[in-house]
Amino acid sequence: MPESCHKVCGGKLVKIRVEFNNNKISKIKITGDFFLHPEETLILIETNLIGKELSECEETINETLKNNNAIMYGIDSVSVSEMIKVAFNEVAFD
Amino acid sequence: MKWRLIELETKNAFEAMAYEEALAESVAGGMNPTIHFWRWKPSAVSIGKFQSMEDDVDIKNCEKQGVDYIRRITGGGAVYHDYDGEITYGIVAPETILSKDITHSYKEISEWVINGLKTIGIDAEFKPINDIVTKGKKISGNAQTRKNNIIVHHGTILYDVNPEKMFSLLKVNDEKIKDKLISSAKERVTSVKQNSSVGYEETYYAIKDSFLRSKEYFKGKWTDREDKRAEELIKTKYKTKEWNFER
Repeated sequence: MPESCHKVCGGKLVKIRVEFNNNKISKIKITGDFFLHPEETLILIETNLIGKELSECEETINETLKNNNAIMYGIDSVSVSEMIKVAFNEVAFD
Repeated sequence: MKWRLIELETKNAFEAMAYEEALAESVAGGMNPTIHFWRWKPSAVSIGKFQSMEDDVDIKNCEKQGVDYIRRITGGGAVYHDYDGEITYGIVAPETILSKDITHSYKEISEWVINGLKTIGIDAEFKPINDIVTKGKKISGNAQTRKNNIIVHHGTILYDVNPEKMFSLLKVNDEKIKDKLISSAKERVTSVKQNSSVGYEETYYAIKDSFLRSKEYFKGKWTDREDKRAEELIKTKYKTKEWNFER
């Protein structure tokens, strides 16, 4: 799976493995040394990103966080969305 | 509310994680808030809830060196817990007696550590999100999770550090930069031993006293129910591939 690995602002290392189908996310796995409360929200974020286009990622993450009263530390929706874009570009220019 | 203290004990990685979860359930069910201390035997690597065991841990080297590896229920990064080089503490308490605000509770608990270090001559400060530093170098790392309005917080005080050993157990994508990472860890991380002449036991007493300052407490033991639940969690969760390799 194409991946994007990045040390985000705040010093946490985040790795995103993502696959696309017709410019939409078909598989995604986010790993790293960040904090997210409640922790179960990460699976919901990954699930909700399936089928989304790049332009929808940030909003999807923010909505999932809001609906689950969740807070991220050391990572944010902007940096995750940016990393998904980086992974997408890697695939697009392969 | 009276706190329960469980004095420094030795646990393997699976017991350590299982007892902590059993304790969280126990406190949610009415048990006193608890402060406990432990050291890891065998030494172990723990990874954060969202990390990948295969990406972050050199499993072959861990097995070769007799080091356990386990996933925590808390976020954060991979930590090497050396039996001789670390004091680990755990605090499990209702949000109502610490703080509902996550950053604030990190700060509050970090103050206990900072005051303890002060009594052994080490000036340290809280560095958000989850570190305690002295002279700009990390001496303690912390992580917490919350379930059913219960805070499960754990942290480590580095008594002695060995970056070479640490990096032999963690996976570095590019072997060429391993030396750089070791030197950079030496610049970023410090220990009690590098800043004070006090021994391991004395450090533990200083930290324990600071944690208990101004608190009503009693010295306790794990209950039979906690023992039983921990045993169950070891088998059904913490020793399983499903848990440790879930990402």
